Amino acid sequence: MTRIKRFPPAQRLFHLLLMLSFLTQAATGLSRLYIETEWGRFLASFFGGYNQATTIHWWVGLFMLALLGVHVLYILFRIDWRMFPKAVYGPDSLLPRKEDFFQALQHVGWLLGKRESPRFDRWGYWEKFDYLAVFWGINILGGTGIILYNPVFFSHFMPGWVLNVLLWVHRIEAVLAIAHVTTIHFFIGHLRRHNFPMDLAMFEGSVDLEKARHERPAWIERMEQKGNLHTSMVSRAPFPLRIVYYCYGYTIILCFIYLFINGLANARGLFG
Amino acid sequence: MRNNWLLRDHTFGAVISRRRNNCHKNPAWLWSVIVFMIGLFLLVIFFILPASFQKPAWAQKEVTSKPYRYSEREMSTRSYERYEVKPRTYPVSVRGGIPHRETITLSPIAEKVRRRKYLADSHWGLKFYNRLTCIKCHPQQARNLHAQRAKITCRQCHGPEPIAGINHYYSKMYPRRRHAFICAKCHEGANASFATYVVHEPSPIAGSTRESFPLLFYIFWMMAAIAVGTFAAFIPHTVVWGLREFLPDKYLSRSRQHFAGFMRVLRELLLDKYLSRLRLRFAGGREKNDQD
Repeated sequence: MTRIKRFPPAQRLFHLLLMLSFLTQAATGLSRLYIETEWGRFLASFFGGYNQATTIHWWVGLFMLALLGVHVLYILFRIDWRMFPKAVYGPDSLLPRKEDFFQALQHVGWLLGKRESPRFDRWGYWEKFDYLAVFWGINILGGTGIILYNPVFFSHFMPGWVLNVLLWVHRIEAVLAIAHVTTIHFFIGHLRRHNFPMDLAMFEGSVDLEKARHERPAWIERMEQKGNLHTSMVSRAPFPLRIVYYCYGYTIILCFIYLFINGLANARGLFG
Repeated sequence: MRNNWLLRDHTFGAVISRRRNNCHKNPAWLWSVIVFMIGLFLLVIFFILPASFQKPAWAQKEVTSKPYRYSEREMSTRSYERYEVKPRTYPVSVRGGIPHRETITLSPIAEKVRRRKYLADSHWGLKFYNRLTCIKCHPQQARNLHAQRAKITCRQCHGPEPIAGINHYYSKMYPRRRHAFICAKCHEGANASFATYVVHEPSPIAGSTRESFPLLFYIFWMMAAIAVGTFAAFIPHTVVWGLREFLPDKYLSRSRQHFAGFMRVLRELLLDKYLSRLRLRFAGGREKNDQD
């Protein structure tokens, strides 16, 4: 099986750290939100109680913001500045393009059996949405989080009652992020038939060439025309490492499903 | 009672007289005065002087300097208040002591509550008051993060009986000194702007919040709309995708032709024309630059 490179090691490391930090933030954040319920106290006990969970939430939040900063620097270094506008709006970029809109419509047509499958390039519209949603999410959550971290200081620059609003923005955005990752990202990424049991692209950094030719024909054709397809061929990751990837990935997925289901089941406790 | 007072006066007089009698015999009182002066000197050197060199904390500004008094509040809220209005001299009573404001019309109950907020004893004249608890009459006010998370009781902020109305001028809860007397007890350095945090937050879902706290209401529903919109679009999309992958890839239903025609028209009419026009305009500009 020939495999083709999709993610360089730096991007895989970013995703790995994001997974871990986001899971920690979700668990500590939900334990704070649900502290009035039995489950919330149980969850907080993993981190040493309410106050300890809060401290961990702060530090990991700062870590995530630092990760975002490093990622932005990484992007700035990665952009080919000689080809500036084209490099940013080209098919290899994660910014939305005109084609994405039509591909999304055509894809919906394909889902309903009314049109042929669109010829996706390197990034599908759902992948771009996921990426930009994380970007937006960390900015919103990090921004409100920093203000809520030291409300006394920040109330010099804004009225204190804005804190009430920011807390709700933080909560809703966090719940949206957790629910989106659990229901949509995991399913499309790993659990649908094409990728089942798990898409290891983000762990191994490579995808099967034939699968890619089937799902992203425009990408492969573009590389063939340029003649650099053979340069991005890689070998498969060794078997023990793949086992580690599966275990790691499924642990994270199961943790998120656990948080999501218990969050829904205990939602009554928030209002009662 | 009276006997005790007499007794105390008597013993006090006896002590004084004994000291006076011993003065000329034993000069120990001189040493005690010297020790007292040394103690006073040490107190001044080590405690009072360093304390007076320190800048006042944010929470102390209200009492330290008039110009700084409202700067925190005014800088952050942009609402400038130039004059303090002291309470009127006539006795304020629940039934019509405060002059009626013609511009503000409130319901009779709200009007009563509003007036109670100006009283030194906000529960003045309530029947069977000493048999009631706070939550009995204010059940909603118990549902807040301060009470639920930090286990802070009502009286820790609102003070002991008689509980002054929050708008009574000399109340600790009066907005101009609330930050110093109440918030700063736990939130070190709390300023007046910080004290405008709404502890008894209304439910952001409730329609009445639109009047009482419009920003909270609108931002909550905006965020909720973003969340609901995301799931309304992507949950059906995900479910249908999951099912679709069990069908053959080339599967097409009969109405495919109509759909394709509709999509073509949409593409040509709405977007392609507009975008190509835009592209032409920018392309023209770029060509000129190249020639230059």
